[in-house]
Amino acid sequence: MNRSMRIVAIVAALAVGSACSNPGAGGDSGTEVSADGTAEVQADRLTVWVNPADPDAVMNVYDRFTEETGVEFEIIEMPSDAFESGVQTRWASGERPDILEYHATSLFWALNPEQNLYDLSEMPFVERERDILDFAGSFDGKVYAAITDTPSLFGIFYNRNVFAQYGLEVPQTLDDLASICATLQAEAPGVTPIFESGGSAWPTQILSGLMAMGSAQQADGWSQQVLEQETTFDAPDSPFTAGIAAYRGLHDSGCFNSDATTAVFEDSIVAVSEGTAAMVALPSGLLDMFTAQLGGDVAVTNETIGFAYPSADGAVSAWAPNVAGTWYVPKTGDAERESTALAFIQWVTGDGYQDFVDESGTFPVLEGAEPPASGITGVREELQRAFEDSTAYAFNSDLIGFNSEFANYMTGLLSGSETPESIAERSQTAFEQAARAAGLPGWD
Amino acid sequence: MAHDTRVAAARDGSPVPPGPPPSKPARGRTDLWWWPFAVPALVLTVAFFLLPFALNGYFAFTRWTGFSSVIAFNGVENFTNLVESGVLLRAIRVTVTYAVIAMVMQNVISLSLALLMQRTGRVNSFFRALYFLPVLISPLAAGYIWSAILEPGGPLNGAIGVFSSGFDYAWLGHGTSALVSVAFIDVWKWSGIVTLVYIAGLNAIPHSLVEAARIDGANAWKTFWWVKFRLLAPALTFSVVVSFLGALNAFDIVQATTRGGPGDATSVLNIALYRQYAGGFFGTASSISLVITILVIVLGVPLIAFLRRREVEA
Repeated sequence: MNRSMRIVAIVAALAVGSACSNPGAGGDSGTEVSADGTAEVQADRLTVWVNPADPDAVMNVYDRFTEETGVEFEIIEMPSDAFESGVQTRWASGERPDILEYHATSLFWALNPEQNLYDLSEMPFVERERDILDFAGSFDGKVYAAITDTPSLFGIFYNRNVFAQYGLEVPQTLDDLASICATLQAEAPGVTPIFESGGSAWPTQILSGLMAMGSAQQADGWSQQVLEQETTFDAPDSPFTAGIAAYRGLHDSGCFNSDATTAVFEDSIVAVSEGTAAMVALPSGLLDMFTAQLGGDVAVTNETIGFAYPSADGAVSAWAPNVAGTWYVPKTGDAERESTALAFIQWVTGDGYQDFVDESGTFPVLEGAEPPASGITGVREELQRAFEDSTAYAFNSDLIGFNSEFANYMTGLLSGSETPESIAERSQTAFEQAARAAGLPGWD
Repeated sequence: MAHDTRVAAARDGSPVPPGPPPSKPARGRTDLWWWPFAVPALVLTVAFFLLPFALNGYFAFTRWTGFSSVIAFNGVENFTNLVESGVLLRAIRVTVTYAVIAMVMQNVISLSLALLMQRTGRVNSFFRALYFLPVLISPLAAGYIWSAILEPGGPLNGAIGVFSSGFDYAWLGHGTSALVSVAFIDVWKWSGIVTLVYIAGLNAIPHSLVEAARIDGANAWKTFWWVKFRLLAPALTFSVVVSFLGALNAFDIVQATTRGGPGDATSVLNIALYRQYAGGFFGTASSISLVITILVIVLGVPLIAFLRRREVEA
């Protein structure tokens, strides 16, 4: 081996040797700042990774913090259609923002929070939103996320005019949906009972899974049972399989639009707003898109659009935190910037929170804050009632491996290549493999 | 070259061509003077190809996830998981089917276009440029454009609707038609290059051979099949290999049109890899990447060997 070949071999060996530690591990700089609500602004610039779909109410928080403290933000928008993989790619290479806006579900577990994120458990805001942080934004008993926006509820947006015209009651169960479908098919053949958007893929999870599983989640904490290996997706009498079977029943009965496999969710907002479709299952965060479709008039939206949350056995709204307004403080090794980022979290959950609530127009999730000065009316009031009356944490939030594949399985069901049973079996396999690979408690 | 000519001429006694006498190598100087020029390319190749390739080979056998800071060797567990879940075999089947469809369509269409546009002229130059345009478009843009064209209410069904009223077939909504449609978009995107290769190949065939065939009484088809197609062997080798191996690495067009759906109908290996990566399972993603490499070698080498042998026979 000549000299140059030896050099190449040494470089390769060093690289392979260094591969024993994760290049994305980063973090733990040994210069940790106290995350107990006493952090001070020490830097004049912070970088933030955001989702470009953030509403103005969230983006304006940065501007107000700049006005308050003089700290400038370098806002880096991740691609919205590849948000998770975009964050993962940069994160895995060791790159870190000063503030990260990201999911509060199990998706953030893949950022190795214990190693890479500040533990916010001692921050003052935590005790003011225990009911949310007990489910989301936490890992292994520690709180890592500051969740400020109202959670997304998953349910049915329906056209009130269509319901009034055909004398339809607001649905409480999946059977009610089938009944409404039958009525509309008989009396209003020009109206699509339920609009489905297989082309966007992700909406297919809502009716078939998040809504259908609300009852089992509320009654039995079903997803926790799966995590603790007390039940499985494909167990006999599985509510998961039953929910998908009910969904397929609606599909096979012709309750969906004819282009359900390829339509995109934007089409559904147009259809329900115009009354050519009666219902669509979507997250509550898309209410603003209905308002935009209805000429930007909130009053017209309240008159036209209603929100229902039927589940298998009764009305239960599934909820999950929004990406927008959910913030993390990564460990970057720069104590001044870390301190400033923690100061931002203190401010946004403290002095700056009421302005955010007022601008967003939704109910506050932190105790001590007042509802928006403009009041909560119409559909937003229905959403608040749904969250307060009968909710369950979205069943797929912590079921890693499965939650990233569920939408693909469902488009397979729409195109005829999957059955409820095959989906249940594949879901269990995907979850088990991911749980073992991630080393979840009890799965090592 | 000139130096070699002069030495050979001096040896066989023929007149030495004009020019300065060859200089003798300096003391201690070797024939490796070109090394410094090769170093930049070598460094880039090692840093951006060989090293990642070697590391990927290692990571494929590790439990490397975003959930932990430790990367642990786990043997073939990633592969057994991928087989057990059905992801691997399904993705291989979809990928090979996609590649075969794309390769066959691409070469048939491109060779046909090349035969039509072989002669150089204004009209043909215009159409050559026209057919080359998709090559310049971003694959993602091509995917988005074709998604719109293939919508049930899109312009393609609108055109078919002229003959069959109310035609609203969801091309991307059914497994088989989605796979064929996405492969067709790949063909549309890259046919311009393959067509140019075939045109160059056709123009390299000696006209005298074609003329001789015609004088011998061969009709147009026989002239094509027994003369032109045989002598196109090098162009065919290049085009078939490039289109087939390129399609084995498909990703961007699929991501822009179907994201691997409906179900797994268009989930090629790179889509399956992308999903694993996005979930934070980097080791499993590396395993799929290794499978793609092996698949390219296992399918590519025999294909090239076969086509090269055919070139010699032709």
